[in-house]
Amino acid sequence: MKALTWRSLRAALLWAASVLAPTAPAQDANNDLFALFNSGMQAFAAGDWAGTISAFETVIARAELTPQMEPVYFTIGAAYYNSGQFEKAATAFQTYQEKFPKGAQFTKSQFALAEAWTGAKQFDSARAVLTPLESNPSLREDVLLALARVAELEGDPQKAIPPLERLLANGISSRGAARGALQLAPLYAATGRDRKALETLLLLEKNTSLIDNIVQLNTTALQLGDSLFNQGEFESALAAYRMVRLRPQLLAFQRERIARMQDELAKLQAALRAEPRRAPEFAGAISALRSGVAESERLLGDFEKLPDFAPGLYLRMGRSWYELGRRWQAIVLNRAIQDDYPDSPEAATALFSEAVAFADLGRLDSADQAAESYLAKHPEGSFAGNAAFLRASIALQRDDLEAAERLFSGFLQSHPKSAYRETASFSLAQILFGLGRYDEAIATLGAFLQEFPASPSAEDAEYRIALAWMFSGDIETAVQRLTGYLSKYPSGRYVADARYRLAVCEFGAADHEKVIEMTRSWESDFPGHAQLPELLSLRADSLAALDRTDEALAAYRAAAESGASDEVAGYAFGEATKILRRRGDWPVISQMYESFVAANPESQLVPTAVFWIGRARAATGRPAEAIAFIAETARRHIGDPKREAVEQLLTQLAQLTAREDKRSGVPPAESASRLETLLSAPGEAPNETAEARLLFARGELLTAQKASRDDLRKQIAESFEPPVLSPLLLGQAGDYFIEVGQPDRARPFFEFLQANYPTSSVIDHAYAGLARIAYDAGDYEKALKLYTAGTERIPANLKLRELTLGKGRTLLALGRLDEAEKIFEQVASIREWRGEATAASVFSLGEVERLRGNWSKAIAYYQRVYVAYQKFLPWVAKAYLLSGEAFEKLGQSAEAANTYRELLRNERLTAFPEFAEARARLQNLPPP
Amino acid sequence: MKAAVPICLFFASLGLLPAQTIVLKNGQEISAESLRRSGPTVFARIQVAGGGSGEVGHAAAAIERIEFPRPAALAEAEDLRVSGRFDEALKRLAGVIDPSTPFRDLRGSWWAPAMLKKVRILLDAGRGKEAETTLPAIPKAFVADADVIDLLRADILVQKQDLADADALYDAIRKRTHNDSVAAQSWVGTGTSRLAAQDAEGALLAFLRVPVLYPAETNTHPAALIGSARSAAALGDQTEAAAAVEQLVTAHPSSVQAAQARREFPTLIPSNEK
Repeated sequence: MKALTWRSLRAALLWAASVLAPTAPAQDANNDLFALFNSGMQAFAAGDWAGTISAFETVIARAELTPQMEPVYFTIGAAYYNSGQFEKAATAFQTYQEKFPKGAQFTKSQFALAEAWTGAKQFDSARAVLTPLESNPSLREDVLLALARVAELEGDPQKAIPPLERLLANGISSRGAARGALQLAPLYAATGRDRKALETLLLLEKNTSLIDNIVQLNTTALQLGDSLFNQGEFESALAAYRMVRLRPQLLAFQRERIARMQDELAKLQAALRAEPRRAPEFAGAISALRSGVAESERLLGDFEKLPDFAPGLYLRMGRSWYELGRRWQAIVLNRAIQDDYPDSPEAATALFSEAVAFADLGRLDSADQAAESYLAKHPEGSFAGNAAFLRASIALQRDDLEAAERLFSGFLQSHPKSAYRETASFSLAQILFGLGRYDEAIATLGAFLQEFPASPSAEDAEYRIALAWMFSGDIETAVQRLTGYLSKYPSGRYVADARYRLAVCEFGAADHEKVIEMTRSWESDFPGHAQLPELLSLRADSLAALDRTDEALAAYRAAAESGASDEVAGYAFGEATKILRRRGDWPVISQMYESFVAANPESQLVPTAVFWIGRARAATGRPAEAIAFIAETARRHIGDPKREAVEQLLTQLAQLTAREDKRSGVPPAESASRLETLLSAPGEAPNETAEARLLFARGELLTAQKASRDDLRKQIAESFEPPVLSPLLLGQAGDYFIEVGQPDRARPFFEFLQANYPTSSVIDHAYAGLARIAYDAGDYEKALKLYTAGTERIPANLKLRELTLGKGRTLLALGRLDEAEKIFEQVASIREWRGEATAASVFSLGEVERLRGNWSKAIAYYQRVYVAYQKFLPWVAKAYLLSGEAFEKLGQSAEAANTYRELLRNERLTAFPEFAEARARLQNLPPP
Repeated sequence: MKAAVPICLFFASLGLLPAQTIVLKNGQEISAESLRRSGPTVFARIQVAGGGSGEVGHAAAAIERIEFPRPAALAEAEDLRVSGRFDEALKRLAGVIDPSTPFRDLRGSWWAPAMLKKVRILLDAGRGKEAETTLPAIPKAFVADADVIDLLRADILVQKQDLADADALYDAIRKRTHNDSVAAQSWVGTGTSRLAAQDAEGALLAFLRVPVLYPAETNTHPAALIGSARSAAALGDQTEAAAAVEQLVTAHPSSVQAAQARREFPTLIPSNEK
């Protein structure tokens, strides 16, 4: 309950005191009354309401009713009110009004009466008194606030809205209006009028100096923000949250407010000291300021005890930004929580929210870092499962299947009851499938189907099991599973593919007639299906296998020309070309590719097609025409690094030009300039890509001059930035820098190739190059990843041997001897790779045995190297030395000495470091 | 001890600086028509009985502060800086710096704020070397918030590409400052440094701190927004870049950064702002 302490009350009492003060000569009765009055006044000032009532009741009983008694009648009402005796207060104020209808405090007594009725819960009486007072400008503000209070106390807060709206009709220019606004905003919010509530608070925000209790604004703004957020009004929620002041701001605000009031108080006190006679005039204001300072200091004390709510506020704001799709802003707020309030309970949530926002933005490294950090800091946190799942999903998104497999497996083990279990289980199975670990994929998919038989992914799981059997080579089971799939899902998503696969299985079983029949039936059941080119190509393969070459040719051409992907079209054209070349049917080759180019002028296969068209023309005695035709196409694409086959055209063009020039006696130097002229568009300067390719073309002219070609390779590598080079030139530039021992300069070329041309036919250059760099730097884990990806996940062509051997060497370096051994055996057994790769593999098999301590077996391998692969001197030198060392380990000094001597007799090995090493070892051998 | 040292009386007004109040350490306030400095003494021209004026000298050591009116040129220079008119801004500042130089060691002098502003303008104008030589001339003791000096030092380090030291200094400033303006500027500095280090993600997160956490620091917003746009563009996030550009050209249309944005990101400018 708020005590009645009207500013004028004290002034009125001072005035009454002067009226009642005895004048000479003193009268006893008056002295008594004066003493009683004084004691009543002191009691009132001291908050002793009972004392006030007792004293003033006596004064009223003993004194005559004179105008001077007015303050006594008024004050007794105030004392009753302040002591909580509202009915008696009402009666006292009514008595005052009756006795002093023209009294100075009459208007105030009306308001006081309304307050007393309110206290006595006589709300209708209170309202009846208050309503006419609204028209009194000096009371209007208090009256409207009182009417609102009456409505709230009545339990009908909505009735408070009209008086408060009237109060704010002209804006907020007083403390009372500010109080009213703070009261009104939550009332709007409570009736779902959040926008009105927000408008009210925004109005208030412009007049903060008028707010008595800034914490109330904070609370209202926070609640309003939450309400708006829950209604999906995120922009407005943010506006509300922005009004909330942080703890330091609150304290500073309150301290400033106190300082302002103290300053005002000091000025008033100074004025009072200067003119003491104006005391009654200043008394009220001084008293109000004193109580204002006291109240504000009390509030400041309360504010100081408040917990810091900034982390909670930031979290709310972050969520609002997130919901608005502004992920960066959400991260900023989550970071601010972690930076400034690292020990707050919200810090964990903020860290996880950051991970999610980064993931949404596709910033996978940062998302993974945040999720990893969350798991490290809060392994048992509420979001641990989500963070673990997120990390696994990120690895999958990055196509890092090994990491994804590890993370999904870990997730499923550590969070068996997670809501993401179904997704994670299926993802893990898909990853195992992608990694070619078909047995595990089959087992995981089987377990998945058992655990989640009604999953939307059940059909996929069934189908993948069939494919896994097929890819693992168990065709019989694959056929069973595919047939099972078709009967279980006759209208399933993979019916066309399943039937195609079944035909492939029959192809594997060499039942070509059946393949032809199955593909014809497929074609009629799925007309216009996207897989048709593959199917036609398969049928063509069967027809070719049956030597029905005309039909095969037609099928290959139909496959290539029926909207096939570049991969299928390339294959089908290639096979068709083989048949036609065997027949020497160059005109049909030319016609086939010409019609393809006419129908698909933008296809990536155009340069390949042109290559064959040119070759066909040259083969039919029209070399000049071929040169002109190839040059024209090459010229059109020479500036586009994405056209991969341009280099193929340039090679063909260089060969044709060189042959033609040689035949007609043109000097080689002129050939180069003629080639450049052929490839340059008149009046058009070549771009950087074209410049690099012109160098490449010149190199192709110099096939017999290795030094000059190497010089041109160097020029390309050193003169051009990765973005302007085509995939082949990127690979060559990277290889060049590896060869000259500058891996740091090689890396950008390989990385650009890997990132920008993932489906290029020379993508293996990137994997081989980056793996080699990692291997040479001793980062074997990274090297292994790249070598594995290079051998298993990309269509490696030129670099497959290097990649396979590299993987073996890396496994050896990692001490994974069994796996390394398998790979070296594989390399050594491939006939096409015979040569240095075989020597290196046999030597490495010796290394495997040496590391196992099987000295005799190691010696056998080393001896195979220096006996069978003498051409590959570096391996021979190493093999001799390690063979000698192995003999030493076996205590066979004589054999060791013989081996070292054999090395030292070989003059071709003198330049190798092993030569000096062998000599030293020989000298140190114990005498036989 | 009496602080006032009556020297002489004149009956003509010289008017060196506009009206100001000297507050002595003993609480006495002297309203002066103008002030001048001679060594350790500050001379105040005051009204004397009879309608004339005279000069009274006060030992500088006895002066608590001088309440100079805030020079309008300071705000004008800031407006000119924001709109990229650096030479005009520097000229305007000279009108504050020159007359306040004799009083630069006294509390209330506008010399230090004007000098700090000068360094900021030199930096914005890309005249880092001049900024670097000017900054040490401002003693920390003359500056209300010494962090402002460190902030400028860090900005100079960024211009010199000494990014690691700059980052460390910005962090240190943020740890100790309670001044939102300084904190907001330090985030712009960190963003600029990160962007120079080609850490576009770090840069964007630093720049965005300003509009997200310091919405009232509007003078810092143009720099933060253009930085956000550049960082987002470097990250390939055209949506975020466009949002930053739109906020920049609509909320701060006459800023130098808005003009830069129009040149750098012509396709991101909203059609109604072109």
